[in-house]
Amino acid sequence: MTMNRTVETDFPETFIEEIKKSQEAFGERIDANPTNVEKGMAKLVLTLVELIRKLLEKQAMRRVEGGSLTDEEIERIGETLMKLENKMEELKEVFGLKDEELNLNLGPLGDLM
Amino acid sequence: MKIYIYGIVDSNDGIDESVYGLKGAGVYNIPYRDIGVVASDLNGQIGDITQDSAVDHERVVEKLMINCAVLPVKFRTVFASREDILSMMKDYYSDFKDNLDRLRDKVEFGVKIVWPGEAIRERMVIACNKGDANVDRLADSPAKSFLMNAFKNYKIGKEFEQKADRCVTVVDHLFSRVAVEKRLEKLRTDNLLLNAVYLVDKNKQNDFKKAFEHTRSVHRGFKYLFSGPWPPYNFVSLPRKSHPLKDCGSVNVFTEALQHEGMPRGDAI
Repeated sequence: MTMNRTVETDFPETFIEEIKKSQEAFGERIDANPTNVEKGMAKLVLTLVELIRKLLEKQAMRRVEGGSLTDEEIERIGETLMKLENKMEELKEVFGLKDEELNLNLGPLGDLM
Repeated sequence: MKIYIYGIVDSNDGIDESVYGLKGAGVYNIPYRDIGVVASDLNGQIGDITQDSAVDHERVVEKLMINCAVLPVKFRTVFASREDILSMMKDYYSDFKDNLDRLRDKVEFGVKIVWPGEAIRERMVIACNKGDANVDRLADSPAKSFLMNAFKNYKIGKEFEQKADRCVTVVDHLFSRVAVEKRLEKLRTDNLLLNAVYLVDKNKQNDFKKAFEHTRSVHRGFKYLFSGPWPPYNFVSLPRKSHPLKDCGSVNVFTEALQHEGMPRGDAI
């Protein structure tokens, strides 16, 4: 190399481990081909459903934080979120998908979630 | 025959014959008006990603940087023909010129910082569980209990991010005073507090290194990885809607190929 470059750290193993972890967490491309098209599509659809579920959950958390929910509303929202999460768990199991697989890499924009 | 490209330079002159590219291929300049695309011929397939090929690409870019302003192109960018390259140059000439002016005499430095994020989060969980004992008792149904639990996690996540923000602000402070631009990525993992790249004037490289040494000596609780100078891969900025290389078969693998980097994904061409 022509530039006078340094790559300097006292903890190379720590950084190798964290970089590996961060790459694993990176959303992969949808891998759809004739043999796994069902799983590829399921991954795409469930990723979007998971995004919507997380947005709903975040909105609910803000309302809980704001203290504006009645007892009945807490019960109803809790039940909805619980059922949504259970349904997602079932679907992930059916299609053999793990939590970390439900993400999309949007290139320079980063990950979807 | 396909054409492999390394970068766009602010020169339409020929390239020094001693510069060799991928698989030892001769490197030449494809001029367009007052700028050019540095390329080499590619016989057959580009082949597997190897450390050698990544280093070959990088070496060409760095040699170009000695005498030119360079917009480094992603590793493994291939065009089908010279006409395709000239067509791209025609369409994006003014964008390339703007970037060449902006990045002239600039280099990139990478800074990664690890903090004990997992331990910090664990302590927050313990503190939150203690503080919310009464709330747990109020959750008199599975649905309420689920919501309260989700709320606890939400609060912990928020507190964790706020703490990370404060730490990033503190460590970024000195770097930002020297750098002209930066790209910060926070908490890629719980422990990887900061993955940053900074654009620095070539004549301020020593100042940036000193800022790093100072930061490291003051904030001893973190683990640091410092790298550079690099060609400014992460600071090329082009209109997103009409990216010139979106259909040419380029593969965004430069960072993966250079195992030590893993920088934030910027707008590198």
